[in-house]
Order: sequence, then C-alpha cells, then structure tokens
Amino acid sequence: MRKIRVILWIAVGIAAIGGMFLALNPPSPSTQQSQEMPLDTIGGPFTLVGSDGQPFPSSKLAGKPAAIFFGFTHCPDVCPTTLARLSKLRTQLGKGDDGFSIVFISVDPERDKPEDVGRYTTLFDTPVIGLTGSQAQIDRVKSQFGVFSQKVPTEGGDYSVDHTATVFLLDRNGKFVATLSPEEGNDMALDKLRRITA
Amino acid sequence: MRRAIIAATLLLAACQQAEAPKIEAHDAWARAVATPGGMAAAYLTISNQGGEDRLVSVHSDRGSGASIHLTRMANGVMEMRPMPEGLPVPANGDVALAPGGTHVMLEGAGPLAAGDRFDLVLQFEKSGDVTVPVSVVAPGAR
Repeated sequence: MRKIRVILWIAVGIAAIGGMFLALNPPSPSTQQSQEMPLDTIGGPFTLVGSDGQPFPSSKLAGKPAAIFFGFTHCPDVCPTTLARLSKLRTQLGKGDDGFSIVFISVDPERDKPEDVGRYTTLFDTPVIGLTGSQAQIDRVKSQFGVFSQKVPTEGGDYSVDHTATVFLLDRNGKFVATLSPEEGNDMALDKLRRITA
Repeated sequence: MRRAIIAATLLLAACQQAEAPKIEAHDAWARAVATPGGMAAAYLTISNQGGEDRLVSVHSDRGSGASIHLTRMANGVMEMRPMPEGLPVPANGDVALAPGGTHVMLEGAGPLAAGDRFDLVLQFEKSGDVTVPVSVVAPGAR
C-alpha cells in the first residue's frame, strides 16, 4: 500500500513539473502560420487562371469586397463546408450575390485544371469564382497570403492536401482587411462581413 | 473492506462488459461531388442504447475505398487523417459524424449528384454490420 502511495506521489510530481514546463514554454505555433505575418503585408495583386482557362488578374475583383478561400477540388469535407458556409453568410447578409465575391483558389494545381475548378464551383447554387494556375503562380499567391499546403498520401493511393483553412476578406479595393476562421461563430463572421460591405 | 471494493469493481466491470450494444445509424448524407474520381465525405449519426462498441471499418460500393477520417485544425491548417483504431461509440450515447470533424471518406466516389442514394455498410466490433442509406444533397444544402 505504501509503495503505491509513493508511486502516486511521484506521478503527481511529474505531472506538476510537466504542467509548469508547458506553462513556461507553450508549444510554438508552426512557422507557416498566416497569423504570424504582419497584417499589412498580406495579399497584394496577383494573376491566376480562371475556370475559362484565361488569365485572371486580381483587378477583376475590384469594386466588390471578396472572401478568398484556398482549397482543392478533391477536398471532401472542409472545402465544400467552407464554401457552403460563405454562401449562407452571403444570403444572411441580405445584399444578394453582389454583397461580396466568393473566390476559391486551388492549392492543388497538379490535379485542378481550369475545367476541374469550373466544374467544382458551378456545383454550388451561388456564384463562386474558381481560380487555379501554374505551380509557380499558385506558390506565389500562397506566399502572398501566408497560406500553407502539403500533400498527404491516402490509403487508396490518392492524396489529400493539408492546407490553411482561413478565409481572407478583401475590401472593394482588393486590400486585405480581416480573416474568417472555421472555428468562429457565424455572428462574428457576419459582423466582419457587414463591416466590409457597408 | 478493500477486498469487497475490488470485488464490487470487478463485478461492475463484468456487468458493463456483458451489456450488448444496441446500435442504430441514421441521417446519413453526403455532398454532391463534381470531379470524376473525386473524394466524397459522408456524414451520419450513430445512436447506441446499450453497452459500448466501436466502429472499426466502413464499406461502400461507391468509389475505390471508404475509411473513417478525422478533420482537425492545427494552427489554422486543416488536416485530414485516417483513424486506424476506428471510432469508439460510448455506452448509451450518440456519435455524430459531421462536417469539419469525423466523416467517412470515400475515395474515387465522384461524381455524385444531388438526389443520388447509395448504401454504407458500417462494421462494428460487437454489433457487426449495420447498413445505412446515404442521401446525396447539393453542396450548399446543409
């Protein structure tokens, strides 16, 4: 019995030291995090390829605020969930499709050709601008927005892509103003969208 | 006294083990997928009115393979990972497979059109196979 008590106290001691260590040295966030970038350096002009195969300069977005989401068309869960959420938020905003543009940029240009992105975005019952590009174009826009992505093989021999799931909000002039995170509530998201579409 | 407590604990554990799970799967749905050969995610609710169980694997005649996956956020990055140990189903509890969390990933299942239906066979450790019909909905429907 005494032995058990001693062992238990040792365990308590280890837990306490561990807790102290964690409190003093919180796990450092990944270096690819967009939130670490100074806000005024996020975004900037870019040129990608539209679903019609033609160059799509970011100046085409000007005049209307935009919500940009990076993803890939083979993404079964988070990408359609996020686009469906943006579509619902746009409806709730009550300004119709003119409230803001929903922009989907592929981080998987290897698989996502213009027609794939077009097929993917037309599936939503609301206008979504789908963009892809060459690997160099995508790498560049990713670094402009501090977006991280990485291929991960799946069991069936296919691959999935881990990627930043933050939505970037641009004002009418194409200037980055705020982000929407998947975890935040829709009330907070609507507040931000009201501000950029005011 | 101590012996009595140990005996009671063992007895309780034995009782719990003996209780059979009573599993039902319902409200299964998936979003339409445009890409031929694209991945799909199916969502559903598992209700259990008995002892604990575990969802160990999933099968479907749609696509090249079905697996239990977990989407999690790490520093704003979305990661999707298989759950090789399966999904525990607690005694007398519900487990919801929902967007942004646990889902059944169907590789090579696309295209799926809104209105399509297909079956998922859920294999549980104790309850065996449970078949649930999946309804395909428009991507923005829910």
